[in-house]
Amino acid sequence: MWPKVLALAVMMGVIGWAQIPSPDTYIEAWIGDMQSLDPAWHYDTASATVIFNVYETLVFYDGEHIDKFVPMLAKSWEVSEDGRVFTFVIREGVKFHEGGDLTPEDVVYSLRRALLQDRAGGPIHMLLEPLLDVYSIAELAEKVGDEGAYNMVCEAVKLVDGKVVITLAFPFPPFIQILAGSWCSIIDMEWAMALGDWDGTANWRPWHDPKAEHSKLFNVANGTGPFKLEKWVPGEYVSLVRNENYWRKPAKLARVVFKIVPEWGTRLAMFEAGDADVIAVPRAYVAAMDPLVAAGKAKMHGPLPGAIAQTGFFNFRVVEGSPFIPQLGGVDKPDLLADIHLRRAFNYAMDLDVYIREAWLGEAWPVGGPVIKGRLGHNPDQPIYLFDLEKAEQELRLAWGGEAWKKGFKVVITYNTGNVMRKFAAEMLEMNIEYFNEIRAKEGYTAPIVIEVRDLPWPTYLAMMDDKQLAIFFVGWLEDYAHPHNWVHPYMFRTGAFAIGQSFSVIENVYFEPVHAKWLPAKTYATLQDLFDELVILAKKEPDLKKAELLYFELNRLAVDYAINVAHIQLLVRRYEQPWVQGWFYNPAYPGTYCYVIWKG
Amino acid sequence: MWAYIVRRLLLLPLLIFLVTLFVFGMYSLLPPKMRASLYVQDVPKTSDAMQRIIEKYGLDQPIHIQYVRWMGNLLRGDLGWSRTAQRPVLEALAHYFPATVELALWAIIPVIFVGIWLGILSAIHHNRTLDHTTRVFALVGWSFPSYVYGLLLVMVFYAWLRWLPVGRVSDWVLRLEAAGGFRIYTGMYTIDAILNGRADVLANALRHLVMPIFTLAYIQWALLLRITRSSMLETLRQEYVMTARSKGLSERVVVYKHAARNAMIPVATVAGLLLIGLLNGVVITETIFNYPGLGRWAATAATQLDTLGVLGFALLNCGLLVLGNLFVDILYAIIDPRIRLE
Repeated sequence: MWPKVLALAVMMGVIGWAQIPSPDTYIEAWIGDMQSLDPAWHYDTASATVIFNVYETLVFYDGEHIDKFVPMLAKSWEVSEDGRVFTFVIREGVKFHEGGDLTPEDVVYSLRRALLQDRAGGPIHMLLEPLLDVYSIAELAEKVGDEGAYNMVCEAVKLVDGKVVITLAFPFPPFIQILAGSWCSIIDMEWAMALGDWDGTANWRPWHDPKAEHSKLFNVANGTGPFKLEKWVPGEYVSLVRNENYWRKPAKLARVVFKIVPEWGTRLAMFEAGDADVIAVPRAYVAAMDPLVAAGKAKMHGPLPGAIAQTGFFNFRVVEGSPFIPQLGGVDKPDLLADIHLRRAFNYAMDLDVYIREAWLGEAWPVGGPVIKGRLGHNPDQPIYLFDLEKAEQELRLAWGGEAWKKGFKVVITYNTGNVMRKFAAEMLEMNIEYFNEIRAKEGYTAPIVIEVRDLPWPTYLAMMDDKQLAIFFVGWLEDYAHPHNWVHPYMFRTGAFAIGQSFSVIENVYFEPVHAKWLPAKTYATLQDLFDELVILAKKEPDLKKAELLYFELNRLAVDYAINVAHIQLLVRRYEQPWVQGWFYNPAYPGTYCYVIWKG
Repeated sequence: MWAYIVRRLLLLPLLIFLVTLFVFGMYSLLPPKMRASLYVQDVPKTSDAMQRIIEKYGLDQPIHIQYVRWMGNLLRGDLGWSRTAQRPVLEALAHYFPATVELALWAIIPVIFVGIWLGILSAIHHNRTLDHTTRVFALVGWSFPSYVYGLLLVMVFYAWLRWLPVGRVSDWVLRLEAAGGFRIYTGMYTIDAILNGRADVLANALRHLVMPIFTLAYIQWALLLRITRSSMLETLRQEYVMTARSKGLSERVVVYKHAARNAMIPVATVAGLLLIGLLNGVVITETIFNYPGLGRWAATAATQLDTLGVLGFALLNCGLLVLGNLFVDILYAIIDPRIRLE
């Protein structure tokens, strides 16, 4: 009996194996191509996916944990008591793909090179902030000169007794997360220099802020990772092959191919034909995958909490000359949205349940304050604005001392062309706020409240946002590293990606009384921006996790109390893969698939 | 005729100058910051990012300075860097053009021969069942959006039946190429397969071409059918055709030897223009079948304001247009000796 069962099992196994196309080759079909293979230059998910399979960092995330780390190219590390000095012992016996040995000098060179390269719009501001307390190396060089900046970089990252010592400008708990990012990948110094990259001297300008194609590592790669770059044909595919000399056990997959297939229908067909193991599935098309999952022809992971949010932003003072200057009673009023009652009215008028159900197919959740669920400082008890037209009406009646209600106002909500979810949110606000015109008309107020919804092409949208020309705008944020600082900085800090376009300084004489961080003194700040800035800095430098958490609670509370945003939601994500793909796990900090853990069977 | 050809060729630089001036002018309408926004993947993370990008790429420089610099580089054979192709423009053109040429040349064969054959068939069976059937068949292709039609082909023949693949070649060919076992000479896999003596690669490349060719052909058949049919109907009513018939010649000889040749004059013009159109790249077909050709790249370059990429494409297009029209004119003169090129 048993031999027969065994034989049958073996036969089924063989048949099963035979059904898996290219069992040792893993293929993903992507929508778009990567930008660069230079770890210090890239700042897009596609490049990061390739880079973190080819290169390695000093430390890496421990499986699916975003706050636990394992040594990678560092054999071990120590952190000084004040949290400022990180000392790394570098692993021995590790070889780069082209044969070079990994040395501590390579580590020092890689990090210094990244700091000095710092391309505009790139990822290195994340490293510059904790190491040198600046957001760009050019900014530092302006103050201390090129050589001064170089010396400071060398002081921040240096070799001491064969160990790599990194000294931070201030204690910065998320530093280890930043160090695990693909932009901190370690490259072979000799190899890079032989290609004509930075020569390690104080003359770093020629290699600073290069165009993509001018980086010597633009389309070549030589890491220590589990896969080697085989070929990158831009616009078509990137192929990797297994690194047989990997310092750990070699990967189970022999080959990995990332194909660029912009058309959704073609990607779906590739999946159905078995020519792609994983495909990018835009949210609008998830319904097309459901029958495949039901039929056992696809596996679906999710919905999983994504490290991504969608938010509406209020600009407290629209700049002069903007075509979107709000009006109060028919007269231009650039700071119309500086009124807290008006912002709260918009928040109460937003039906989040319907928005999430209809626009996001139920796969999102509202968040109270910038920090998303699953991160330190997210306060599950933080109240949020729930849909309530009565409260919205009350707030509207209070806005601008009742003038907004009596005289009417006009504001334009913008979103980028083609983004139907953002359009949905904007139109919901339009409908629900303009609804009050009926009530106002009965009271004899005939000048209407006008909410205009306008779409703008992405370049126009981004440029106008940067110029503070938009009044209410919807944008998304994808986390760079798994820490609350990466949320409160863009949403609240003076130079943050969104805060910069919101003019919080308009609100003056702000009295602050702590609710969570009770050790802070109650005091009056010159502006709301000053309050936000101080708390953001205090939180990022706080080494005590409990205290840091309370500081982030405080920031979230303030964001909600001051209603700086509307419809702030965290998105859930899905992954679809062929039934034979094994080993994948979810770590929201990974840019894409870490193929080392994948196999087919 | 030679003077005519030279005159037409001399027009080329002027045309190129005007086209590039137009493209540059169009892009100059956009403020520097809007163009800078295309260099960042998402919202800029630092406050000075946009300004630094503007300075780095010289986006705030006066348009005439940018144009003169580009022209200077062009004369040195440097067309600049294409952001969307991630390679120099010249290299991008050299990479994508052979793929499109390969598709166009293979597609034009069924487009012309089947189209003309259907037209003749339709004309000689005028107002009979075959005429109606043929016209309906071709009109369906003409009126059906190629986008939907192509996707249907992909779903049926690729996803479900798994008879035909998408892309240019299979993964094993790419691996063979990466390992140095297959040398690229022309960039056209069907030709290179012959030059490498690899029948398996040739068969593979041809299999990949079947669906895009059929899609392109089906769209164009209606046009050729209509022109051939009306031209044939007109010719078949001519007195010399009736004379041929009255001489007792077989219907086959009358139609194909006497009528068809004269009926081909307007058809030749359309066929030439069709070929030029195909050589410009076919955006939808190339996208649906994930065929990395000129059309797909040019569309991406245009939507992402890849100025240098668009300019490179425009240059190639100008050349193709002038040479293609010239070719049609010459063909015209060959088919109809009464026409003199002056």
